[in-house]
Amino acid sequence: MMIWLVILFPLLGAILNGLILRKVSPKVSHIVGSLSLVAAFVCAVMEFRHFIANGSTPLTYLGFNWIDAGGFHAPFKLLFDQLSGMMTLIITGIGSLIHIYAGGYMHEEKRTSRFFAYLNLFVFMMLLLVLGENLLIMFVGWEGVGLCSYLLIGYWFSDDNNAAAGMKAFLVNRIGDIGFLLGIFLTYKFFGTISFGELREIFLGSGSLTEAQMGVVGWITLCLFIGACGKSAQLPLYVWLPDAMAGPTPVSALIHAATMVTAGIVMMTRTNFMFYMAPNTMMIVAWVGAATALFAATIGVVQTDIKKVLAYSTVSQLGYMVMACGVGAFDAGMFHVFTHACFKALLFMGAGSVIVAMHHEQDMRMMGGLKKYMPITHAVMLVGVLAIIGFPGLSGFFSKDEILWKAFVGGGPVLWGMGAIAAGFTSFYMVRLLCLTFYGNNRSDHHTQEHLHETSAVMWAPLIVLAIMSATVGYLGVPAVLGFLPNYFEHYMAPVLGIPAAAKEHWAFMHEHHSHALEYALMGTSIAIMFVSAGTAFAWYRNGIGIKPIALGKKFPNLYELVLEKYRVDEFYDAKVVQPLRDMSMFLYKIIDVNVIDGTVNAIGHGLNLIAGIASFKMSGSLHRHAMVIVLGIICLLTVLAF
Amino acid sequence: MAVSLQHYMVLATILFTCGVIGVMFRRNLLMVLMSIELMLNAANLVFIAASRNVNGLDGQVMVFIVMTVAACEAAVGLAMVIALFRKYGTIRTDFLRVLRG
Amino acid sequence: MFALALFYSIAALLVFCAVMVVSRRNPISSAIYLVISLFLVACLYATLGADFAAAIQVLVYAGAIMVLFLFVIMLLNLDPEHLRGPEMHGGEIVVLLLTIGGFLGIVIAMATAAPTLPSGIFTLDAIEKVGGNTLVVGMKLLVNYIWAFEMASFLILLAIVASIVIAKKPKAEVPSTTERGH
Repeated sequence: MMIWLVILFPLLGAILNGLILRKVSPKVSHIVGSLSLVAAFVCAVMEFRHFIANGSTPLTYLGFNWIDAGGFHAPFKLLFDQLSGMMTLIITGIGSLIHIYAGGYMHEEKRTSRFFAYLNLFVFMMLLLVLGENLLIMFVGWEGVGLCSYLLIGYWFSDDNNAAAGMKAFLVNRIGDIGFLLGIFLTYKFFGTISFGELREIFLGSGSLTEAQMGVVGWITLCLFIGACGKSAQLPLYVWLPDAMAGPTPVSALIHAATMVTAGIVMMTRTNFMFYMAPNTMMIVAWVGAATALFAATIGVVQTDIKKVLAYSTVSQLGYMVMACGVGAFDAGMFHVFTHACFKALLFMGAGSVIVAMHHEQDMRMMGGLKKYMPITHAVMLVGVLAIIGFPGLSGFFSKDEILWKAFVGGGPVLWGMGAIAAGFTSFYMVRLLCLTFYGNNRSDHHTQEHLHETSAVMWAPLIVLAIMSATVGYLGVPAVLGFLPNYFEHYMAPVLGIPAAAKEHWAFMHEHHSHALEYALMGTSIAIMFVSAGTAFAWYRNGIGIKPIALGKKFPNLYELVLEKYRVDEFYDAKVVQPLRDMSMFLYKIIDVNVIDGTVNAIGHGLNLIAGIASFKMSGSLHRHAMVIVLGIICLLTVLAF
Repeated sequence: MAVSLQHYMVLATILFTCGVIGVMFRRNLLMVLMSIELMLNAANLVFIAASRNVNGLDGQVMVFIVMTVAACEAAVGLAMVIALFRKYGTIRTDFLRVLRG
Repeated sequence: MFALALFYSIAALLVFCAVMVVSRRNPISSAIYLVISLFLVACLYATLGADFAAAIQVLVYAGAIMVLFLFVIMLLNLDPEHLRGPEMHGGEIVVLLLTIGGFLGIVIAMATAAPTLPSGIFTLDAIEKVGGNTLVVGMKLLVNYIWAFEMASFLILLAIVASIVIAKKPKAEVPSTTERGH
């Protein structure tokens, strides 16, 4: 029962703000939007407690029989288990904090009802995505969050760039969606069902799969992974995420850090039993994840826009999560989803506070020395940065290290190496961000400097909550090797995962006992890398952009330019994909549409006109002619009738 | 041989034919209208004769109504003739080509 | 015997007058011949025992409609172009032959057919007994066919309005008294 309220409150908020309260003051829309989320969070907590009290068995709730056509059943059913419960709490909890924060961020706007309506709608769709009991409901939520992402990225659509960024996000997502849809179709065709519960039964139950089914699982998982690539910004389809920074910062925090981008990982974890059956796909997943992590981290090093740094950081962290899934450690991936949601939302919102204080200046080269003007923001950002770089004791350390270890065990030293190097870069650019923004001398102009002050309470209060969470949630998932606390998270997520019988021996390594010494060694190495790169960054950037990095840039000008231009991936796509599409459309329009189709229609019109011209010669229009014809008609009629 | 229904019907047919020929071959609009009256009368004749034949009264009632309609039609038709003559100066049916398509 | 002779004489006169109506040049002549034909038709009605119909025929048709016709003919003051008599252009002779042939065919068909229809109750004697043709027709009209009766009267109203509107002289452009903005 509670669960319907959980999804209903955001929907109600969206309808209220979007349709009814269109012209109210920003304060009212803010309160309505945030209240609906807080209410949803409270209901989610109650539902969660009910779930735990019920022995943690998955609960299903049938709404109504949506599609029932022939053999295809897609009821509107919600599934509340460990995975969806955790995600629901994250979405509503962190979502509430972001909504509260957003009221402060958007205070300069005249009307914010549209903004909060979209945000609430987004939450509703995201909840559908994680709570859906079958692939179709999840897909509805999938598409819905894509739509809301488009609407919110292009929120200030009067600027063409923002609108274009929104379109880019939507279109690139769409490419991934094709994969997702193909996956759904194949699943239905070969397994006869798209319900998660039933699929789980098929894979993990007592029966065995047919030859055809075993053969197709690899393709299904590949298609689903392509969908995940689109949504979770993995290697070929990540290009929308940096551009998505055109939207308001709360949007970036909610959608592009904490929730939507994790949809791919959630989807893969939901169908983990299928992925376990397809080791080839898993290998591709792992390598794509690692490559994405490394690739994006290198770009983040040279970015100057504070939000872009965080965007590339998100892509990189998502790579970690995907890599974890690829080596079978779905629980580690989900744990990183959790910790990342906390500290990434924190970082984005902190960046938003800085941007607001700097009158919407986003270039870090214009910042500096904000520590003394914005102490609270500095403190929370420091916690966030320490968390993301994996400082021992904070949440990021536990989750990232777990992933790196599982990568080593499941994928070999090269995979671990890529992850470790990416972690090194992450430390580097995050500390660089911190230094350029908060330390050294202030580099902005006099006017901005005069107006620098801490943001309002409505903005830093949620940040403090998130900072506390970033510091502490790590202790829920302490790796077994460290031993001082049991790995609550791993035990919690265990019922969701399941390795089918046929694949058990391939994944047997996950349950083997591994050398503790090796694990300590790897952990130590990654901590060392972190300290080294953080230290270097601190030394180079503590007083603005130091001499060393500039000199380095001059020494390798080509490399520097290549990285600065994001490896020219966008330009490549534009040349190879967008332009040919444009040319083909132009061709279709000019040649086929104008000449052939319009020509045919016009020709028919002309032809009819000609015929009419010929026929109209016969009409003299005189009354007499009319009378004659009438009489003739009567005669014919009578003749026919008589005989 | 008594006067039977057939006699009247043949007579009515001849009258009707005259009327039809008048409509077809007279170019004066007034003549056309008069020929129409002739046709209506032929029809009325059949009604009365048939009504007598079956010993009923419906035919006579019908004739009453038909006559009313004929009167109305003649009135409106003549009004139109006047209007046409005023506007176009002619009431020859082959010169009135306003309906030309 | 007498009835048959009466019928044939009236019929012959009727046909003659009808042909005259259609063939005269002068519309006045056609109108007069039409009046005579209508009167002869009324005589036929009378021989058939339809007294009321005969009276109405003379009163309405010959008395009102034809008078109207004559008024209009004289009002229009037609020039010789309009006084030309029946004209037949090239192909129309075919139509003429078709018409005559068609109707002749109908005549023959009817002459040979003998319709047998059920007999009603209104025989001449019965009508006499009740009170005469007019009474019976009147009762039938106002009892069974009251709806048609009322509709007919409404139709007359419509025709009055229509003919007045159509035949009205178009108003010349008179400067309106309200034009100067009072």
